[in-house]
Amino acid sequence: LSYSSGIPNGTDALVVSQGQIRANYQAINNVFSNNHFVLTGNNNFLGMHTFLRMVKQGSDPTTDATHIAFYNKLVSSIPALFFAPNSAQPVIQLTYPSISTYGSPATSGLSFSSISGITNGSTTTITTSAAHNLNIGQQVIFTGIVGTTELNDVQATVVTTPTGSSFTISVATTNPWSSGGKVLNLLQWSFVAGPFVVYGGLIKSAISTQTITLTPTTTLKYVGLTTANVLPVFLGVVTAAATNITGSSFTISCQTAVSGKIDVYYLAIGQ
Amino acid sequence: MTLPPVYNPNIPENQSASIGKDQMNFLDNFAALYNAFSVNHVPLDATSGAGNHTIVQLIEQTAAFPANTGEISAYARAATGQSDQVFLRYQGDQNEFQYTAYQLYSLPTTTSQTSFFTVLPGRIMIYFGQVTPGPSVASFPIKLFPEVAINIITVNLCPLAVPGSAQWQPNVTLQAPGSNGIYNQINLLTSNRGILTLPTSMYYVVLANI
Repeated sequence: LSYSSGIPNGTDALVVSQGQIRANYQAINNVFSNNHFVLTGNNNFLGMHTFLRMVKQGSDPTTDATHIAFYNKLVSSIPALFFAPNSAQPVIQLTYPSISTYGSPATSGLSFSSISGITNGSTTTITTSAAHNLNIGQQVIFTGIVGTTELNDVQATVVTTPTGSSFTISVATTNPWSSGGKVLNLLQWSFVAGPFVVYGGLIKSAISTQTITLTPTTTLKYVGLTTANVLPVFLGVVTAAATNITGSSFTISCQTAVSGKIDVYYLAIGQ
Repeated sequence: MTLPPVYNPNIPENQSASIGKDQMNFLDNFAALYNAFSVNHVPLDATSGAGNHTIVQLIEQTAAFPANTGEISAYARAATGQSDQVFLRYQGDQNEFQYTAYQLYSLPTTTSQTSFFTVLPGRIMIYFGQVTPGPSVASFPIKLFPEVAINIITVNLCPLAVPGSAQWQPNVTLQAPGSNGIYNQINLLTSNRGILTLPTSMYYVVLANI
């Protein structure tokens, strides 16, 4: 039933307009029930929202001195939530197209690659069905593997990346891979208004001159490194710095004596 | 007490009824519409702004809402270990994620550490502040308060430099959670610094999953 704005006519008898009026009432009820608590309900929720389903807007709304606005506008064909301050000040993009975190339910938000094969050994080689985008030293976790089940829920460090769709870990496995499984990338990123992308993670056994490429691709505005797991003899004198910051990549620089012997936390912000 | 009218989409009930007979039904429906619109929205009879929202109250939902192509859905759900929070779902029914994570905590005050926190979408807590280790302690705990971190994502330290001195470089241990699975501190190592000058204080940022 769709809403008709032109009924009833002034000359209509109710025998003519009854169905039209009723159809309008039902259309109003149906439309209002979308995003709102139902009109036919009769409690404290009446008029409140069940959710906000925002359809894309073609342009920014105009706000006056006492209005603000939230709305959905496409950015490169992807919907984004925007905030328009009062008095038509410049608008602010509140969301970024993707997010990858370890939030609840655990691991569900992390980016992943599907596993297409596993080669057993003291060092295990994992093959993925598509590019894994992993860096040496990066942390991963496995789930859903049939066959090589000893890897499920195991957190491991990427040791080598022979190809763009294979990598090795220093975890011994013996059970042959049968099917399935995902490797979850523990590189996490979230966002703040701007939007800026905030990355965080740990590189195990970091190597000096090692290049780290963060995903999704942005232009990094800030990179900070902090050393961890430093041998006692090197305490206090070891530094790790980010150099060659280009796009979403940076190079780890640390003293040669500790290269491969320390872990490095990174915090990066890109736009 | 008079109960407010309840909206009835099925009036007029029949074609033989007169306007007069159905007048109360019409009035009740208009009143119900008016009452509903007056909640969260500028009232229907406002001289300006009708159709705009005043506030947006979101009723707690138990499942993710759909988001078709070109749409974003926002809704309230009970978040694990927290109260109701806003969740977002991107177009094409992608995985929902928690957009807000707000709870009230009173922060402890110490002479050696300032503590602040805020949150990022996706259940990430940002702890930040300034710590001032003592001059002769082997390690110094950077306390993470509120104690809700279930995984440390990253740690970032920035010493306040001492001009003209060879600077001790901060580093941390990889943490293990407590018996309750919560990471409540970061161990900042200050031992073995030899003749290097220990910075009097440093800024810290810790990102953690909650």
